[in-house]
Order: sequence, then C-alpha cells, then structure tokens
Amino acid sequence: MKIINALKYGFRLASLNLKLWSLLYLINLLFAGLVVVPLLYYLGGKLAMTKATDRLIGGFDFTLFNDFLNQYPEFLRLLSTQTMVVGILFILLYVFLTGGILTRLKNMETDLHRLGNFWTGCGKYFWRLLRLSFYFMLIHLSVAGLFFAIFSWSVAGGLDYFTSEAAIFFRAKVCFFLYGFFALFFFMVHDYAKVLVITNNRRLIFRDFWGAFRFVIKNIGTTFGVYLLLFGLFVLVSFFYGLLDGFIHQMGIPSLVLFLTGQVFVLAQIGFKLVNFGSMVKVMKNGVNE
Amino acid sequence: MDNAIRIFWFVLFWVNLFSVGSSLSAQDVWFEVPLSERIASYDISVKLDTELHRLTATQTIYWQNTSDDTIRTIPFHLYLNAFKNTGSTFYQESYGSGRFPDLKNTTEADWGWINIDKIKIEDGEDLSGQLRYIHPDDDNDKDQTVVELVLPQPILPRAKTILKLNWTAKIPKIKIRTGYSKDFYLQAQWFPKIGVYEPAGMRFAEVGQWNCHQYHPTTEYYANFGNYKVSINAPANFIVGASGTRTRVDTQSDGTATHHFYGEDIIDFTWTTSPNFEVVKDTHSGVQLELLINSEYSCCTDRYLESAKHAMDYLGARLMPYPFPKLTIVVPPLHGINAGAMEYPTLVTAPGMYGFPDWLRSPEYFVIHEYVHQYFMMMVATNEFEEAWMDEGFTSYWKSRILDDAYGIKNSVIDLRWVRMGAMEFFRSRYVGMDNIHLAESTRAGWEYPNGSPRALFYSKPATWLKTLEGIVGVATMDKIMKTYFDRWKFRHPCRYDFIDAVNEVVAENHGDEFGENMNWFFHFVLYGTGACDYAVGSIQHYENATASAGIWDDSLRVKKENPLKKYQAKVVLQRLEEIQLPVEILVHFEDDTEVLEQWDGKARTHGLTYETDVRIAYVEIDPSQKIYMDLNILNNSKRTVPDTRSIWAYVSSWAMRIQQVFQGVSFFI
Ligand SMILES: [Zn+2]
Repeated sequence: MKIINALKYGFRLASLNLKLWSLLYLINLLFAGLVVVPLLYYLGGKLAMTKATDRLIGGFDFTLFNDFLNQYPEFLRLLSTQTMVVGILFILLYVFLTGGILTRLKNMETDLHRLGNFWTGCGKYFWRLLRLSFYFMLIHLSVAGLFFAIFSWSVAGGLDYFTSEAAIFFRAKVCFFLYGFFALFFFMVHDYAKVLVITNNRRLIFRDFWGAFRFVIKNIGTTFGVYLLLFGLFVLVSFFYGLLDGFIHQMGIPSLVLFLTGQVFVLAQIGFKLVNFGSMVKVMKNGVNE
Repeated sequence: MDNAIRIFWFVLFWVNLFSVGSSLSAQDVWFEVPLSERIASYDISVKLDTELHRLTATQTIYWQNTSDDTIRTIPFHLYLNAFKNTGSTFYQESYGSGRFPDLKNTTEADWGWINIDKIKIEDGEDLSGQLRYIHPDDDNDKDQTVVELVLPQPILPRAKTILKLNWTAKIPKIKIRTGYSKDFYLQAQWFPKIGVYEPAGMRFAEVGQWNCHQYHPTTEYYANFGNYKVSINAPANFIVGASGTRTRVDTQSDGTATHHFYGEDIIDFTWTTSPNFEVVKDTHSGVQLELLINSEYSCCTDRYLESAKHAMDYLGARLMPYPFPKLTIVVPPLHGINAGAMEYPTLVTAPGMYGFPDWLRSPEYFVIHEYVHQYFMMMVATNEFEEAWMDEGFTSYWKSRILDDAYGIKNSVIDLRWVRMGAMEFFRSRYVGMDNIHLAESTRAGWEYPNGSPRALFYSKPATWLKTLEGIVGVATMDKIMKTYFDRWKFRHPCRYDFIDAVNEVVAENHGDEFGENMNWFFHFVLYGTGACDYAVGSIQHYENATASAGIWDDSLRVKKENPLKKYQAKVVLQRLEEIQLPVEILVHFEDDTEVLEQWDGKARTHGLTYETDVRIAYVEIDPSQKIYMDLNILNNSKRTVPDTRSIWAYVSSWAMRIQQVFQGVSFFI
C-alpha cells in the first residue's frame, strides 16, 4: 500500500508540474540541437552540392558513409568530441536542475504556481549535489569493477578451460544482471541522498550521504519496491515505444509521425524522472513521520 | 572341416566378396567418364593419436606423366613443416596471428612437422636418403616445406609411376587453417603432396618444369586433379567428416574406428574430427549436405544449410550444377576459429559461435564464399600461389552477387535498422579504403608484396573491377563470359590469359567493337596497372545571353544586336582525377526535369559539355547507375547548381530524436 501511495503521490506531483515538465523538455530539445545543428552545418557544408545524398532517402547508406569518411576522416573524431562535450554539459546541467526540481517538489503544497524557488534551488544546491554525484560515481565505478572482476574470475581460463561457450555467456549474463541490480540500488540511494540534501539543507553532505543509506536500508521494502516498480514501468513503456517505433518504420509511415511519437516518448521519460522524485519525497515524509 | 561346411564357407566368401565389391563400386564411382586428367591420385591410410597429436600414415601416390618430357626429380609439398620452427619461410613472412605472441613459452604441443620416413617406387628400395629440401622461392635453407626426390630411374614420357610412402607428422596447434584446438582437429595440407608438372606451353611455362612453391602465409595452393581413397583411424567416439563421400566405417577392437572416404576429380583432401560435433544431414538438388556443427550453435543450423542451397541454385543456373555427390560444411568451434573459413574439395569451413546475432550474416557470408571456391579453385583449378586474385577475386565477386541476391544489396552482410551493409558494397569499401590504393599490380605471386598486405589486391580489387566490367558490358555478357571461361577451364588449370581470352571473345561476339578492338585496355588498367579510378564533375557554369550576337559586323560600323537564341549557354566540365580510363555515362538534368544522357570515353583528363538552353541545369551526375563500381569517390560524381540539404536534414533529424532519447534516458540516473 505504501508503495502504491508513494507512486500515486509521485504521479500527482508530476501532473501538477506542467511548467517544469515543459522546461525540461525544452532543455532536452536545446541539447539535442547542440549536437545536431553543428552536425547539420558541417554536413551541409560538405554535401549540399552532391547528389550522392539522395542515397539517404531509404535510410543509412554504407557506400555514402564510407566515401564520406574517406574524404573527411576527421568527421568521426569531431562528432565524438562534440557529443562528449555536450553530454558532459548536459549532465552538469541536470545536476544543477535537480536542486530546483527537488526544492519545488518539496514545497509543492505551499507554492504551486511559481517557478521562482525552482531557480533558487538550482543555484543553492548545485555544488553539494555535484560533490554527491562525484561520490556516487566512485561507488558505481567500484561496483562495475567488482562485477567485472567476478566475471573474469568465473570464466578464468576462457575457451582453453571451458568446453561450453554457453556457460561463459551464462556467467556474463548473470554478472550483468547482478551488476544491473546493484547499480540500480545505488542509483536509488543517490536519489534519496539528493532529497536529503535538499530537505536538511546542511553544508556538509556526508551525513546525508550516510543518512540515505540508513534510510533506504531501514525501509528497503518501500524504497526499493517503489523504485523497482517505477523502473519496471519505464522499461515497459520503452519496450512498447520500441515496438511502435519499429512498426511505424516498417510500414513506411511518414517520418513526421515517427518524430512525433518520439517526442511523446521523451515527454514520458521526463515524466518518469518527476514521478521518481515525487514518490521519494513522499516516502521520505512518511519515513520521517514514522 | 567337412565338405558341406567347406561349401558353405566358399559360398559365404564369394557372396561377401561380391557384396563388398558391388557396394564399393556402387558407392565409389562418382563419374562414369572422368572429369579431369586425374594426374595425381592418392590412397592414404592414416592413424590419429589424440594423446600426442600425431599422425602416422602409409600413402600411395599414382602419378601420370602426361607430358613428352622425361622426369628426373619429383618435388613434394610438406606444408606442415611451415609450423616446425621460426626459421620457416611461413613463420618469417607471418605477422600477427601467424606468429606466437609468447615464443618463449611454446611447448612441443604448439609446433608441427611432417617427416617422410620411407619412400619407394613401387616395391623398390627405400629412397628416403635421396630426399633433399629445396627452396624454389627464396634462399631460406631453413625452410622445409618442399622436399625433392631425385629419382634413381627417370619417369619416361607418358609413363605412370607409383610411389609408396610412410610418414609421421605432429599436428600443430591451429595457427592458420590446419591443426588442433583441444579435441577439435582440422587436417588440411596434412600429407606429402606432389607438385604440379607443367609442360612447355601450360600456363606460363616456356619449358617443362615443376611448379612446387614453398608455403607462404599469403598464398594458398596448387595441385593436380586425381582420385582419393583415404581411411582415417580415430577414437571411436570422435565424429569424422572429410572431403569426398564416406564408403564405410570399421569399428576396431582397440576403441577406435576407421572411416573410409572416397573422392574423384578433386585436387586435395581435408578432414576434421571432434567428439563434439552434431551431424545434421540434408539433401539439395540430389547433393547430400552434411553439416558438422557444435551442438551449442544449433540456432544457426538453418542459416548454414539454407545459404549453401541458395549458392547451389545461383551458380547451378549460371555456371553448372554442383557435380559432386556431397558437400560437407564444418563449423569450427570458437576456440578453433583459426581453422576457418576455408575451402577444400567438397568440404568448407565456416566459423560460428554461440548466440550468433541474426543481423550479422557471417555464417552465410562464409558458407557462400567457400562454396563459390568449389567452382573457382576446386574445379577451375588456378595456381593460388602465383595468381591468388583468380580464385579470391572471382569468389568475392560471385559471393557478393549471391549474398546481395539472397538478402538485399544494401543489407546482405549487416542488417540493422540504423547500420546496414551489402556484400558488394563491403568489397568496394575494402578496395577504395586501401592504405595505399596504388600498392602494386595484382599479378604478382603472393609473397612478392614485401611492403604492404596484398589482400585487397586479391579479394576486393578484382571483385570491384569484375563488377565494373559487368557494368560496362552488361550482366548478360558478363554471365556469358563467366560461363565460357568456366566451361572451357573446369577441371583444368588456367592462367590470367585464359580469362582475358574469354572476355575478348564474348565481348566481341555480343558487342562487336563497341569497346575497341578487344578488352586488353581494360586489363591494362585494372590488372596490370596500379592506378585508381575517379571521375568528378568539375564545374557547371551558366552564361546569360551568351548566344546573343552584338557588335560591329560590317562596313557600316554600326553596332547590330540580335536577341539570344536561348537564354543560357551552360558549360559542364568533367574531370578524370586518376589514371584509369573507362567509358562513363553522364546524366545532365535540367530544372524543367528534362534529361540528357551523354557518353564519354573517359580518356582525356577533362571533358566539356555545352548546352544552349532556356532552363538552367539542376544537376550533373557521372555514372548515374553506378556501373563504374570501382570509382573511388561517389561524392564528386555529381554536382548540383543549387545546394540541397533536404535529405541530410531528414536523415540527421531521425538521429536527433535518438540523441534526445539517450540524453533523457541518462538523465533518469543523474
Ligand atoms: Zn577465399
């Protein structure tokens, strides 16, 4: 019941925050634009005068791609550098926005219609949330390293030792699944730590860091239950979107439809983020009250 | 023994003999009329020791001197000695996977060798003391891959000789093609094999001579046709597959089994064994198909068999139905992946692995490639040492046609929604993407490319120019060229001149002198030359009023003007940027959607086209149907007069959406 209540609360908060939703969507568009516009400018400069680009009408064309790379070998390097820079900026921006999102969700009942405290929250918590992200990044690297080590140990000797390739694949799958499970757990703790940082508003974040672990473990059923349920929903929605996307592509329906369904999916992705934080705020409130 | 019993045994003996004899003859004889000259035939009886990875064998070679020459020596390939030590020419010329990364830690198990213990002519004396290693290709006296027997008595013209050998071999760990990996064995180039005697006039031979090259990592093989009777003794739990057909299996009391195989008109014999094979049998067009595959790869069983069937139908319709009664497809396990992909008579290897993805058609790619080799090498038996392009180039060309026909020209190799690649496209990309496209001509022997890998010159370059030839003369003529060449040279040993002759003959028949007196000019560029091919649209200019006349025309000294006949004079400049000269088509498209298709012989460095016109040219495109497949840059083949980025926009925006989704997906966790 607790789980359902928390999710309901999350959905309610998300649905009440259309402004925030739009803002996040615009930011997403802006960042996609930051990757795509220079790309278009570059490709347009090189390819606008050749008719070879007609080969793209049916989709990816290997010969065009190959000859383009032969002529402009720097392209892939430029593209990857640019994507990386924009990606890092996007991550930093999202750390920045998280402070605002959580401040707003926390103060929902009192202050529904103004985005003002949103921006204050963004600025106020940025450095603390960034430090927190850094600590969790270290944790994630360790978890990934640990499971990679476990996998390497479990298949030591490789094909010289194993008669069955399926056995190696199976171990890889198990390790990957377990890694995913633990990674999700730490992502969730990270989210709770963010909520604590904003709720407690302390300079030193270590207490919130440990506090999040303590809280999550103490209420593991509710916390992980809510998170897994939401994540499962997210996977399900992605799966159906994938099916729909493939279907539209296969039926040759105009690409505008594909683009529009794509945008609906992006909006859904943003919604999940808001629901997630909303439900955490609720779980925390209940947890503190108990 | 009383009489009744004697009679019983007598009858049983003859019945047995008759039944064995008749079953042998029924199964053994493949062809009523031999398809080849059957110059070198082999009977081999070999025992595999799976503990020591050794082979012990007795071998009889029936060799026919079909020349008018007297033969005083016989050379043999001892391919396994390539793996004997680092001194072999094979090791010396190898890089990458051909070498041991950790030489110091190699053990006896890693290396391989073969030794002729005894050699006799018929039942004469042992002549093994008369054997000496020779090095026809280099001065490497450490190389032991060719051994020569000095005959005590010469073999007279047209005479037959029978050689009887006893030999022992240590099987190497598989580095390339042959060897063992755990309990998987792929035995290729495993027995002493006689060289090819080329009398004066055959291929490039000016005088009668043996053709028996050392083993090089960049070359394959060359051999005469013959019949093979091979019996293989291996542990009884090992499944054996081989070239030819299985005639019988005898189970021995020592826990082993002897598998008897037979083949006619083949140039080699290869076998494989492992206790882990699953055997899948099928038939297609009267040919038995046998797939030896790791049971974990069973998801791909149909992919191997169906692609083989498609290739059989495709070449059956264009060259000749597969003439042999059986085709064996061996899928080496991942740990023995260096065993394949490779072609042998009636047996091909095509690697696999557990959980192979559907979108990557490598099982089909390898099966079809190796199957095409059944035609180009196993039947049209070129010399792979000296003219590797003649088997690999032809095979790559046909393989691409078959794959593209079966699975689509844009996705026959990689078939994902966002990234896809066809087989012919793949070969073109390998060729135009060479480190040094001017590396060398394709006609050198495999080991004569010391300063760069000749791989592209053997595979992708000839495949690409064969496709270009197809573009120039048309598919029907191309198919007729191939059929003429194949029919004339199947079960024989042609060289490049024989293919060029077939091209000249058929092109003259179908096209007269449309492409010149003959097609030698084409081979001058693509085969003997080192140039590349790149045509480009240099510029498109429009001059307004250019056709108007104005000025002082007569003694009146008055200026006279006339209205323009047409609004514009449009001038197109075409360029040949590289050395190769090929006839090209040029499509000129005007803004009112009218079009002109022009022809250019492609010889000059530049070529101009002029039009008097009321509408501007929208674009000019060289080779609009991509007939000149070897043109190395399609971007400069066309030019518009007005920039158009619509298709780039449409394409990039589809990616933009994915980028949005990835960004948002990542943000869930931040
Ligand atoms: Zn090949």
